[in-house]
Amino acid sequence: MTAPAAGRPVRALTVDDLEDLAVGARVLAAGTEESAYHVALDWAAAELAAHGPVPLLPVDRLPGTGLCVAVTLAGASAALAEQLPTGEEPVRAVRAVERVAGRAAEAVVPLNAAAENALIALATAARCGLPLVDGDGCGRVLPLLEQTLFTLAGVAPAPLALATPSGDVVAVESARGRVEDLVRPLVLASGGWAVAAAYPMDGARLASCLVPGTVSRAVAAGAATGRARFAPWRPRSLCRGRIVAVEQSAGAYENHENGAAGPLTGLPGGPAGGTAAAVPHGTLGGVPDRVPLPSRPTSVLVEEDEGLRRRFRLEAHNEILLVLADGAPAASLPDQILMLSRTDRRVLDVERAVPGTAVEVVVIEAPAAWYTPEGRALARTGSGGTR
Amino acid sequence: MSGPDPGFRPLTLTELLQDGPLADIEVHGPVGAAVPVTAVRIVDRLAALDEVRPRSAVVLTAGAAAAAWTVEMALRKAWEQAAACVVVSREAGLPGSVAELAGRLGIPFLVVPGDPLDAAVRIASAVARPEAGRTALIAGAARQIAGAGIRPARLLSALHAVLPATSVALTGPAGELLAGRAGALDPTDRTARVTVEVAGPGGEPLAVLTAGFRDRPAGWEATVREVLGLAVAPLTAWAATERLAAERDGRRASGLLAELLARYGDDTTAEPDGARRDPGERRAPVGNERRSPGADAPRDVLEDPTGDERRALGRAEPNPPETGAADPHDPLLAAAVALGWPLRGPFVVHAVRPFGPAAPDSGPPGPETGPLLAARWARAGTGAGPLIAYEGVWVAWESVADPDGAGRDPLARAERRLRAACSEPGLPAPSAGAVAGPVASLGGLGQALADAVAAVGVARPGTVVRADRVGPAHLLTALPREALRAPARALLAPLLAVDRDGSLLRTLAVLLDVGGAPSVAAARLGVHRNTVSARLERLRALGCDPDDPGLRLPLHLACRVQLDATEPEVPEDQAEPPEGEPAG
Amino acid sequence: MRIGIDVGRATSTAVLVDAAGRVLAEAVVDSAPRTGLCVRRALAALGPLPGPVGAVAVVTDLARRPPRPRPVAVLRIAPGSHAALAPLADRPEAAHTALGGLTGVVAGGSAVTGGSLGPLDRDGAAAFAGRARDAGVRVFAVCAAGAPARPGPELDAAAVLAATVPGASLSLSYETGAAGLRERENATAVNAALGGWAEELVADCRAALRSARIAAPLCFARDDGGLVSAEYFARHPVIATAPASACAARGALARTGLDQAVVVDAGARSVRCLVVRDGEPERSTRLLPGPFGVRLALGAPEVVETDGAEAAEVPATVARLLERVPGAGVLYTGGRAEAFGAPVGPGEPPAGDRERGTGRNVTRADTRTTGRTGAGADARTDARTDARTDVRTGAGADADPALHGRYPRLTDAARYAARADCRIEVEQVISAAGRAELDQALAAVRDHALSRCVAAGAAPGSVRIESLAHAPVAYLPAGVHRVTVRAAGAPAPGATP
Repeated sequence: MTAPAAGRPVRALTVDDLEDLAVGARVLAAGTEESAYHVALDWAAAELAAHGPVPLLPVDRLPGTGLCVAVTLAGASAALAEQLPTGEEPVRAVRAVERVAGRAAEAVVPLNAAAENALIALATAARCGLPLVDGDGCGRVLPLLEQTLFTLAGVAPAPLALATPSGDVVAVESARGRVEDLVRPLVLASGGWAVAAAYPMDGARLASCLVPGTVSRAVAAGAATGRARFAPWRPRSLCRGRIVAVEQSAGAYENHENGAAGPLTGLPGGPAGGTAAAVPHGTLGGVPDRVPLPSRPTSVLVEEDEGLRRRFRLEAHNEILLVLADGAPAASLPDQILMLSRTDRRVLDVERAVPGTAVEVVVIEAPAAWYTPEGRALARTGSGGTR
Repeated sequence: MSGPDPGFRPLTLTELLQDGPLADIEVHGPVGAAVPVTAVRIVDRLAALDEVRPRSAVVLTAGAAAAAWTVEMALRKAWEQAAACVVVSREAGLPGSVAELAGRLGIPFLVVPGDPLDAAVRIASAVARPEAGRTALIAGAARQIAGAGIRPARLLSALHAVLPATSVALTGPAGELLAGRAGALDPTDRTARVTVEVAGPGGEPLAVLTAGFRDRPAGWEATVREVLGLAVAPLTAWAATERLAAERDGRRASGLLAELLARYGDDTTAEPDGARRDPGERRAPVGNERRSPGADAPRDVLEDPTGDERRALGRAEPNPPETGAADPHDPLLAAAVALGWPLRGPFVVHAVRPFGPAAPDSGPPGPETGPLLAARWARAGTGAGPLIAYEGVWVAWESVADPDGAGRDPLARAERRLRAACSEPGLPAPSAGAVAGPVASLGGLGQALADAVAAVGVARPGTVVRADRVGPAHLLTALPREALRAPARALLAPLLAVDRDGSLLRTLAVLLDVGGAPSVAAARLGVHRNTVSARLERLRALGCDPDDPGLRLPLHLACRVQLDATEPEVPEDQAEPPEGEPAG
Repeated sequence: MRIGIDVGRATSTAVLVDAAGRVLAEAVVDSAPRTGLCVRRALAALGPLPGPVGAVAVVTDLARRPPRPRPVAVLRIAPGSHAALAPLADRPEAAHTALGGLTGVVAGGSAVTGGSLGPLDRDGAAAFAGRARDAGVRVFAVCAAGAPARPGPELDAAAVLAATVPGASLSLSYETGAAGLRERENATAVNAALGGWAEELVADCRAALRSARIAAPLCFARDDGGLVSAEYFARHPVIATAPASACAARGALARTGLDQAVVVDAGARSVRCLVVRDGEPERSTRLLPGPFGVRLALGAPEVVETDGAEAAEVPATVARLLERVPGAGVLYTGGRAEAFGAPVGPGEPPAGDRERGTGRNVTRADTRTTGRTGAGADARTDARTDARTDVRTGAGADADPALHGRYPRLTDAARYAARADCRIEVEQVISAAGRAELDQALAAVRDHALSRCVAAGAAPGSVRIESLAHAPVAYLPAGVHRVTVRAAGAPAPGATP
C-alpha cells in the first residue's frame, strides 16, 4: 500500500458510510435482486467490522506505479443469493492476479459502482487490507466484463482471475475479445457466480481511464433524500407527463450479418456508415446464450403534459435504451435513461409501468468516453444484451 | 422518359392512392393534399433516411420496419426531409400508436399488404408514367364493365374487380339490395359513400348504385363516380330488355308476379296493416335455396333500417322466423325492379277488366290484346306499374308513399285516376275497374290483389269500384243478368202486367232492400207511408209478398235484374265526392 | 353453505353464505382472548343453521395473540459460507431468543441451476440431530442451497433427522419455495417455530366447531387471501400469519365489483392500507420483516400500517399508494372506516358505538410485530388528532363520488373467507435445454402445483391453474427459468373431519 501523498487527508469508509453506499449504489437500479443485495451488504458490513474502515483513494492519490486491480461480481446475482460466499473469494482472486502480474496489488477499484458490485469491491478492499479507488470502470451499469472504459483505453481485462465460492481459482490470460466467452462457462460450472479480479494496471494508467468519484457520489446520494438523492448524477429532465400506453416491442434489433449496418446505426452521432465494430448485430434476443434478460422488449409511451405536448416512446429491454420524442431521438444508449415517479421520485421499473402514472423521464449522461464512436459501439453491443 | 417534358405533371400522392397501383391499402396521416411523388426510396436502415430526397415515397423494408420505434424514427426523418409518404408492410404488425404519430407529424403513412418491395416497384412504375397510371384505372374499368354484359350481378362483380377495397351495392327504389355487397350501405363500416342514380328506360328512377369505401384521398370519390357511371348504361339496358321481354310475353310477368306473391305477398298471418314480409327484410334467409347463382360477392346482412325506413317498409315487427325472410340478394326483386314494378309500400292495387274481345270470360288476356292495352295503360298516367295478367283480369299497383299527403285517402285518388283511364276512348274495349288497398308493404299485396279482383268482378263497364265500398248493390249487380232475365220476368209477370209506371216494381225492390219496413221504404221512395202500405196490399194480392220467406230472395233478385234492365243504377256513394278529396 | 369467521382484535364477525355465495346471515361479536371462544361466540350469534355446512374458514392474525414459539434447530445444507451469512446471523436478537440458537451447517446442496455442490454429509446431519435431541429440541428447519431447483438433499436430510430423532417435527425449505437461501431458511425456521401455535389454533377452532355441532372441514386464510386446509396450515403456518387485511381488502373489492383500489382497513388499533391491482393485493418488491422481525421473501402483500395514534398520516399514505394504481378509487373497510371519511352504511351502528366496550377484552398487541412496513413508524407523534372526527382521506373518497355510498363493512374479511377458494403458490427453478424440455418442465411444475392445491384442501375436481409465470434468470444461460405457479380450487367438502 502506497502512502498517500501529502495534502488533504484521505477519507475512510466506515460501516456508517456503507449504509449510505448501499442505498446510493442502487438509486439508479430499479430491479436489483433483493436477496443477493442483502448478501453483499451483510458481507461487506462484516468485513468492515472485522478489518476496519477502508481508505477511499481519490483519483489524484492513486499509486502512480502501484498495481491496481478491478473487482466485480461475475455471473448471476441470483446465484449469489443461493450459494453464499465464503468471504475468501475476493482475496483469492486478487492474489491470483498478483501471481500472474508478478507484484502485489496496492488498490482495489470497482469495475462498476452499481448495486452489489460496489459492495463486493468494498468487501474486497477491506478483506485485502487495500484502499478502494473512488471511481469505477464504467460510470454506468453495463453487464459484460469487457464493457468498460478500460477496454476503450486499451487496457485488457486479462490477466483475469475468478474465485468461486466452492474454492476454485481460475486465472485467465487471453487475447482481448475472448475473455467473456471464456469466463461464462467457467462461472456456470462453478455454480453461477464468482468474484472476478481483472484489468491489472498501474495507478497512473488507471487515473487516465477511470470514471472518478463514483463511489463518493453513491455515498452522497445514499445520505440524501428526495430530489437531492439524484442530484449527484446531475439528471437532465427530458419530459414530464403521463404514461399513455405500454406496448410489447418487436425488439427490432435485427441481426444483420455480414457487417451490414442495422437500424440503430442511424442514431444521432453514430457512425453513419457503420464500421465493423459499430455494427449492432447482436440483437436483444440474439444473445440469450450469453446474457438472457428476464424482461421482454417493451415500449412505454409517455405524453408530455406541458410545453409541446410531444409523445415520447421509451424503448426498453431491461433498461431504457432509446427515447424518441415524436419520432426524433431524444436520448439513447449510452445515456442512462430513467423513468421517475413524479410523486415520490422513485425509479420506476419498466416492467411495472402502468398507463396513467405521472412520470418524469430523466437522462443521466454517461462518461464522455462512451460517446465516442468506439464507446457507443461497445456500449450498444453489450448493454441490455446487445453484443 | 426522355428529358423534362414541359407538360409533364408529376404523379400526386392522391393519384397514386386512387388510381390503384396499390390495392387494399391503409392510409394514415393527411391524405387529401396533392403532394407530388417524384421518386421512390427503399430504406433498409435508418441511416439511409439521411439521403432521402424531398417528395420521395419512402418504402421501409421489413428490417427497417421491424419495430414501432424504427418506424417512428423513419416517419420523423421522412417528415424532416419532406418526403411524400412512408410505406410499410402490414406484416410488420405495427401498433396504432405509430399511425397516430404519422397523424401528429402530418406525414402520409401507407400500410400495404405483402412485400414492401413489391409496393415499391408499383409506385416506381406509376411515378415514371403518371398519365398512364391516371387513365389505366378508368380504361381497365371500361373494359371490364363492357365484358360483363348487362346482368347486374356480373356488372357488380366487375365493379368490385376494378375498385379495390370498395364495396358496391345496387339497390331498388325501396332501398332493397338487388346485387352487390350490403356492406356498401352500412353507414358505420365505411366512412365515405358515392351514389349514382340509374334511370329506367323511360327516364324514371330505376335503381341506385352505392359505393362505400374507407377513408381515401380526395379524388377517389370522383374516380369511383366515374367508374360507377360506366355501369349505368348497361343497367338501363338490362331494365329495357327485361321489360321488352315481359311485354312480348305476358305470361312471364304473370309467373313472376305469382312467384313474388308466393315469396313476399302472401302473408296471411299478419295484421292487415301490420308486419309483413318484405324484400328489405334483414333476417338471414333460413334454408332459402333460391340463391342467385351470380351471388358470389360477400353477402352482408343489411343494416337495421332507421325508424322512418322501417315504417315505410311496413316492417314494424320482425317476422315469425318460420315464414322465412327475404334474401337480400333475391334475383326476383331485381327482375321486378327491371319491369318497373313498385316495391316500396304502401301500395294501392288497380284491377282492370275489359269487356268484349279482351274480356276475362273469353280466357286469359291473350298476347293479342296485351301489348295494346299495356301501351294505352302506360299513356293513361295512373301512376301505377305496368299491367299484369292476373286471375283473369289485368292488375297493376302503385306506390302511394306520400309523406306530405298524410290524411288524404290514396284510394280515392287512385279511383279517380282509374276511372279516367277506364273511360279513355282509346281503350280497345270498354273496361271496368277496381281499386283496393292501401296495404303497407309487399306482404299485403296478395290480399289487396284478391280484393281488387273480386271488386272488379262486380263493376260494370265504364265504372270503377272501391274494394272497400262494395255494397249489396254491387254484389247483386254482379249476378249474371242475361241468364236471369227470363226467370225474373216469369216470376214478376203478374206484377209487370199491371204495373204501368213501374212504381209497384220499385216499391217491391225498395221494400226488399230495407227489410220490409214500410215507413223506411216510404222515406226512400219519397211517398207517404200509407201509399206504401196500399201498394204492399196490392203486391200481396199479385202474389209478390216480400214477407214470404220462400219468395223473398227470388223476388229480390228478380227485381234487381228487372230494374237493371230498365234503369242503370249508380251506387249511392258516388253521388257525392269522396271524403278527403276536394270537391270539383 | 359455508361460513367465514374473522377473528379480529376487537370484534369477531361471522358470515354464512349459501352455495351460490349469497349471504344468509351475519354476526358481529366482541372478541375474546381465546380464538376458539371467538369462533364459538360468532357461530352462536349466527343463530341456528338452516342446513349442513360445507366448510368453515377462519381469518386471524398471528399478532392478535402472539404465541410463544417453539425452539427450533436450523440445519443448513450448503458449502461453508462467511460467518456473517451463517444461519440466524441476520436475525434480530429477539428472534434469537425466541427461536433458540441451535444451528448447523452440513455439506451438500445444489447451485441455483440445480447442479450438485457435493454429496450430503449424512453423518454431520445425524450428529446435528443428536445435539438437538440432547438439547431437548425436536423441531427442525432444513434448508438446502438450490432446493427450489432440487429438493433431494433436503428430503435425504429429513430422513436422517427423523431416524435420529423419532417424532421430530420437520419443516423443509423447498416447500416454502422462495428464492434466496437466507430468506428461505428464515421462512422455514419461522414456519417450524410457529408449528405449535398453528396446531393449538387448529385444535381450538375444531373444538369450537364441535361444540357448535358443525362437522365441516376447517380452513384458514393465507396472507395474500385464499384458503388452506387446517392440516396444511398446521404444517405451513408461515404463509398464514397476517391474512386479515388482504381478506378484508378482497372482500371490499368483491362488495363493490372493483378490481383495483387502494383499500383502507381501519381496525381497532391501527389503520392498514394496501393496493389491490387486478383483484390481487400488490406484493412488496423489497424484503419485509415477518414474524419475530425475521426477514422473509414470501411475496406477502405490502401493507402500510399506521398506528391508531398516527392516523393523521393516513391521507398521505393513501395519496402515495394511489399513484401506483392510477385512476383507482379508495375503499374503506373495518370497524373505524368512518373516521377516515367513509360513509356510514344504513343500519350500521355509529363507529363509536361499535368501538365502545369492544376494546376491553383485547390484549394490546404490538402492531409492529406483524411484520408490516410501518409507514407511520417514523411519523411525528405530535400529529395526534382525534382521528374519528377530523381526519378524512381527501384523495380518493372525495375524488370519486361513486365510491360514496359503498359502505364499509365490518364483515368484509369474513365474507371473503366464506366464499374463497383454497389457493397455493409454488415457486421453482427449472433448467431446460430447449423449448420442448421447457414445456415438459413447466407441465411438471403445473402438476405439482395442482397436487399441492389438493393437499391444501381443494376438491380435486375443482383445482385449476390460476397463473403461471416464468422468466429466465438474468445472466444465466438460456433455459434456467424461475417459475411461479398459482393453483386454486373450491374447498373439498368433508375432506377433513
